[in-house]
Amino acid sequence: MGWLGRLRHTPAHGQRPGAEESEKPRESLPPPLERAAPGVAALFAGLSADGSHSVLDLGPAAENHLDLYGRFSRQIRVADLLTDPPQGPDWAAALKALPPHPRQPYDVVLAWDLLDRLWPEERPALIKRLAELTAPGARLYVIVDTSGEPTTRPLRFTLLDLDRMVQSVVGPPQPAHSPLLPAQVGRLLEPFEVERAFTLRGGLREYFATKKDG
Amino acid sequence: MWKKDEAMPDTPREVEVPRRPEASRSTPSAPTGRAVIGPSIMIHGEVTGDEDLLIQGNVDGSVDLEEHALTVGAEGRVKANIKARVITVEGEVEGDLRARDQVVLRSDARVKGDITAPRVVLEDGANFRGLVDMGDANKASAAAGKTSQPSVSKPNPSGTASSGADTKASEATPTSSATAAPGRANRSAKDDTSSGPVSKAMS
Repeated sequence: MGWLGRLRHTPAHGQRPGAEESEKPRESLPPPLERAAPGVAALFAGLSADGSHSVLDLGPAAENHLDLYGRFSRQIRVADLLTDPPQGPDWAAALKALPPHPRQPYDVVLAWDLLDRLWPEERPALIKRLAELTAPGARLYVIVDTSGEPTTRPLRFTLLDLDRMVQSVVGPPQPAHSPLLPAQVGRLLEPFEVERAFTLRGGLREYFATKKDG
Repeated sequence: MWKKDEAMPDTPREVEVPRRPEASRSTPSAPTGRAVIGPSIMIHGEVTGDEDLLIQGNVDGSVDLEEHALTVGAEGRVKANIKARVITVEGEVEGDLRARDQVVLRSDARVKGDITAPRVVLEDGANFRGLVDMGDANKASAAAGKTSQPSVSKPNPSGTASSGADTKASEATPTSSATAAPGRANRSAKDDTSSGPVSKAMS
């Protein structure tokens, strides 16, 4: 059983979003919303559209994303860490199973509604692994709920273009086991340095960060 | 230290995620004019052939059809590297997929492995984990037409965020965003659209 499976049976850890979805009665979910994605626009701004980049998407696979990323990268890795996590005896080991790019370090990474859903002790491990997998100057996009609300709903984001996206609720409300506050994000992302941050409605924030050289 | 937080004209509205109209998005095809590995068949080893193939059973090994189409049906479970002209997955595959023309993952597909193809179709709901390698950009453009260069406008960074917000700001405090947020559990389309322009959460 992987680390996530064990967490399901560990009351102290609570429940990751979506892990128990099939065990709960289905409820009607709010309709998807289209919204601006200025952080995504900032992420891709200035990248050469020659397919030379390497993209790591830590969210669910989406055809729109392949289309859009395909402008910049011919090799795109999709690894949904929440709903389809890599296997390992613990979180750090699972992250080690996150493969490097076959030809070059990743230089564009997207983390959708992910960091705030990890346990606080898991967050630095993810950033550390991303630092190992990425090139100096790599670009990191993060969207998180920094509202501090006691419950949040797992979200899925689908890009419509490089500055617009659709936000879909994909599960019932979940206890926010450890809210990620804005003041923590900058420190958490090191060695990535936040270049720009954008406040969206509903307590969501986008961060565009770049990896410091050396 | 990061640059100043930027408030955006974020006016959400209800939408449906658009789907590309594609001929290849037809409903799962009927098993006509091709060989079939039925649901009760289990194969360990190498599968090769000179005709199209539908796999509804279990295959563990490798599948090489080169010039033909392979479909892993909804009941198909394949643990193998697959090579074919067109690969369509409706069931489960664990292995690498290499297609000369395209790979199609239908909505119920579950694939763990790397995909190499000039064109990849991912239907909504398809579960994929791995690397997508669309090969050389020029070749892909020729093979896939507009697919590799979607007819959407290119990003305009200056138009998406106020350039004046690029100045450095002090570290954020959580108070403003926390008080402004209705919380995801209570968010709805109405809540979002009825709100006024977003104010800066940090100053």
